[in-house]
Amino acid sequence: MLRARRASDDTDLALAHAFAGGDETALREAYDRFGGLVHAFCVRSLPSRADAEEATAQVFVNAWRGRSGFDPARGSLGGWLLGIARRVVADICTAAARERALREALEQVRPVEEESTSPDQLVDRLLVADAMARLRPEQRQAVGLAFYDGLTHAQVASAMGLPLGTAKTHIRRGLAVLRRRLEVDGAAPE
Amino acid sequence: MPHPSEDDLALLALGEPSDDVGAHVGSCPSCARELRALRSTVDTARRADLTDLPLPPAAVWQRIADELGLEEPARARTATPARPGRPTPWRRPLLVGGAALLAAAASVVTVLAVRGPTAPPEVPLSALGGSDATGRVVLDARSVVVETDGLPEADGFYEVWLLDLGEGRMVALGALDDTGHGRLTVPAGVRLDDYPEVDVSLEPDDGDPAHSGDSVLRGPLPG
Repeated sequence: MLRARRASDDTDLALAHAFAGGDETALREAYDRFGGLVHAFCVRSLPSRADAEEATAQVFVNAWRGRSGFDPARGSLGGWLLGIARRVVADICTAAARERALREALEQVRPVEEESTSPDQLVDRLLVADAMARLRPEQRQAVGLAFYDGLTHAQVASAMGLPLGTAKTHIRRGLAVLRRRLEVDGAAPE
Repeated sequence: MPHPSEDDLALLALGEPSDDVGAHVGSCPSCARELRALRSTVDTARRADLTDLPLPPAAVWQRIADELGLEEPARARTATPARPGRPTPWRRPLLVGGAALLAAAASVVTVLAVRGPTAPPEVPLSALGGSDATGRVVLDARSVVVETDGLPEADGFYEVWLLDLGEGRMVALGALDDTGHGRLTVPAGVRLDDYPEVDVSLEPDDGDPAHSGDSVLRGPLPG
C-alpha cells in the first residue's frame, strides 16, 4: 500500500542526522520539535508537575549524552526520545514507589490507585496527537470531523464545502499519515 | 467484486458501512488485514487526548542547557519560535464518545460559521510554552482583532505578531491592552498572504524590539 510521505518527515530526518552528528543547535531544535511530546508523556505519567519537568529535562540531557547510541537509520528521533522518556519515568516511579511503600509502612496510608492507561497506549495516543497537529489543515479538519464528530464523508464534504471525492481523499490520507506514524514510532505491536 | 479503493477501505475503518466493501473484505484476507490495521489506528486516534502538546516552562530548557554546559547560540531560545507546522485551525474536540455529541454539533456549527460568507472567520489560538491561556483571532479587513483569556500577569507586555515560520519572517503589530484585547492595524505594505500565522509573545520591557522567543499563543491567520 502506498504510504503518505510528507515534508515534515524529511525535516524530522534532517534534524535526526544533525542531532546524531552532535550539532548543539540541533539539540535545541529537537527540544522545540519534541519537547512538548516528551513533556506530555512525563506529565501524564507522573503525579507532580515538578517531577514531570525534572523528567523532561533529564530525557534531553540523557539523549544528548547518549546520542552516539542513536542511529537515524534504525528509528526516528521522536521514537528514540520517547523510549528514553519511558526509562526516565520508570526510574522515577520505582524510586517513588519505594518511598511510598516506606511511608505506607510507617503511616499505613492507603495505596494510590494504579493508572489504567499503559505506557504503550499513552505513547501511541500522544504520537497520534502530535501527528494530527502536523497534518495539513484541510486533512486535519476532515479527519477531525470524521474521527471525533462521527460525520460521514458526505457530511464532512458538506461541512467543508468540498466535493465528495476530495473529502474522501483527505480522510484517507490523514488516516494514512497517522497510521504510518504509529508504525514507525508506536509502542503497541500491530 | 474487485478490491475496494483505499478511500472506501478508510471509510469502512471509520465505521461508514458499505455492503459491497464489507462483503469483499469478508472474503479477502489481504483487505481484511489492511482494514484491521486501519481500525487499530482509528481506535488509538479516537482515544487520544488531542490537547496541544505545549513545550514545558522555559526553566526546563534552562536546566538542560545548564546541565550540559551548552554554548551560545545553542543555549539561546531561538528568536524565530520553533515548532513549525503547528497551526491549529481545526480546534479539536477533547471529548470522545457519547458525551461528545454536543461538542460535535457545536464544532460543526463552528465550521459552517467559519465557512459562511458573512461572518468574519474567527480562529482559535493555541497555548504555547506551558501557558493555560486561550485566545481567538479575527481578521477584519486590515485589522487583526485578538481576544485572549487567562494570560498570566507578568513583567512586560503581550505583543501580537504576524509570522512566517517557513521564511523566518515576522511583523510586530502592537501590544494587547490590560484586558488581553487588541485591535491592531496591519501596516500598509505588508501582504497578509505572506504571513500564515498570528503569534502572541510575552516581551520584557527591555527596549529590544525583537521577538523575545517567549510565545504564549499562536494560531493561523484567518484567510
